[in-house]
Amino acid sequence: MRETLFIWTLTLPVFFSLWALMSLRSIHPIVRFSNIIGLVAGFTLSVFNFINTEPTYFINYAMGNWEAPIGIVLYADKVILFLIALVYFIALIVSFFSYERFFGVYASLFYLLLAGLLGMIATKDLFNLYVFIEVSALSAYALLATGGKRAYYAVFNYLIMSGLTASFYLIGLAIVYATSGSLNIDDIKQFYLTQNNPPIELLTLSALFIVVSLTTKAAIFPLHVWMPNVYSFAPSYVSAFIAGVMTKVNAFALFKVLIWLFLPVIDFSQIKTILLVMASVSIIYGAYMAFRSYDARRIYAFSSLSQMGYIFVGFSLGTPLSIFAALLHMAHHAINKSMLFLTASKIIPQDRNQNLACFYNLFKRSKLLGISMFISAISMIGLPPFSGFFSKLFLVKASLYENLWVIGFIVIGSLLTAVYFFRLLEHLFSYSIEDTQQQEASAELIRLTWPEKLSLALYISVLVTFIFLSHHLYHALMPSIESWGIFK
Amino acid sequence: MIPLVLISALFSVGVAGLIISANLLKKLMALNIVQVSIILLFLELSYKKGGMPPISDLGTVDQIVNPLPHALMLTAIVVGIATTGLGLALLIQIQRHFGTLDASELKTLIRQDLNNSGVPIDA
Repeated sequence: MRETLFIWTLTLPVFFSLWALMSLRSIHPIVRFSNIIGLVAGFTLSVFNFINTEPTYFINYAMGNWEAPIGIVLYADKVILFLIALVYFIALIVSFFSYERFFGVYASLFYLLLAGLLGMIATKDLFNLYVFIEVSALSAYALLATGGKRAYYAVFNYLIMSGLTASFYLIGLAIVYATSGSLNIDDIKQFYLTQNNPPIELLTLSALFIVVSLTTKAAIFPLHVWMPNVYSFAPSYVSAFIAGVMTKVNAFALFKVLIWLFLPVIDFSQIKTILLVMASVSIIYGAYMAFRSYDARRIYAFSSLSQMGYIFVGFSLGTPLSIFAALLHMAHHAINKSMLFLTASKIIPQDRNQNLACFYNLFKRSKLLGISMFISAISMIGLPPFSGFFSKLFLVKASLYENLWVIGFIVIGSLLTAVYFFRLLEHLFSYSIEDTQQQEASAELIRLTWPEKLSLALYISVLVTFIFLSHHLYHALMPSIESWGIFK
Repeated sequence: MIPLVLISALFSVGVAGLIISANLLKKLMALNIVQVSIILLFLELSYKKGGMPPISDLGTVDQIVNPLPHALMLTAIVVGIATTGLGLALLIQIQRHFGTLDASELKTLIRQDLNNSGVPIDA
């Protein structure tokens, strides 16, 4: 029964993407609502699956009853069920905020992107991972390119860089497949572990190709160059979903392949050093560039770069506690960054004046948006009792005995984050406006519709209960993470 | 050995074309060349001298070519086509709105467009 529900959560978006296209012409409100019912159903199924499974639960589901190495195997344990529920939650929040646009081609592409991301999380076959990476990337290109004329060149750059690195992933895959003969992660690992002389240099080369490929898609310094333009020029509600989820799922796919396949086989110290250096520089560079930016969405983009650095540091340190901290930071950043982009979607007009003056007078224009933006910014900085504090606390705890330098980077990163977010928040509370056009724009009230209020309610309820959530997640996820082995 | 050298030469031609060319359409074509070289890499891996097609009564397992890399590369070809189609659609829109497909001209044009609409430019 649980495996049926698991498969339904993965395949529901595909059916609904077809339904959204079929119901393109209808303007009946019930048909419009039926477009979003897929997300609601998927979210309830995935949360039900996560809650009703014991911490040592795992399942290997062979698609079409073709067992490995012939068939494709989907794998779910508590961590993967948690990530599926997180992706559905972000999709629910974003789609409720863009409810009046959620039909037709936009909804169809959204569901396809969701299907690609969920497949990336759940698969255990290397080529299936490539297919889902490309499905999600192509849907993302099409969604991001609806942002008007500035978005086209930025998305074209993203397409070229992402296409090139997809070819790098295939080179890594070619080396692994040629030396082992199978595409399933478990089978390849068994094959190398029972072999006398595994070709370690070749496998290290393959791991490097895959690392380069997936760190480009996860936007880590120095391969992040496509990201700030794409997030700034795309429509804000699309950026909310892409910034909230897509880079993180690519990072998780990278560490899934590294920890499950390459860790038992090759010597990891150099790759680990490379990843830690890239992640630490991302933290500082992202915060510095956000400090230098004056456009709100560009600040959010560089802030995403910085927070992805934290996630990468958590994954690269390799102890089970640091991996849990990285997963918790993924949840925290996904929820808060999506809400920041979504409030920006109500405030910043797409093609007009986009500087920080748009945020003047926000509390008078809409109390709910002002409060939610304030809470998101405070949570991103890392002040208790919101989510940022707990994820950074776990990261500090994980690096307390052996890697004290990580704490230095976390502290410096948090201070710089505080600087640019406080500069952003200062505009929320200031009332002096020079320009007449901005004066008119800042006097009009923002009216929130019922889906937007619902999604704000969901967001705030998750955020204020995050202390209980993190405690529950610790006990729920640690057995699965410990069964993965230590990434040293 | 020689086919692998040729495949890496083709890959290098594609990547060099991606870096050197200023026209966006040429960059897209260079990306296609890179993808073709990866397809040829997989086909080279499955090559067998005097191999027979994978039909059951044409030979033993040692004589039959492994069909799996060919199937994987069909998927990769489709992904390449979709990427190229999307890239061409984006190029049509860039040409329509900016009038040029040259990367350096586009950089100045977009910068001017951002300046005109008041979006603050940072570094």
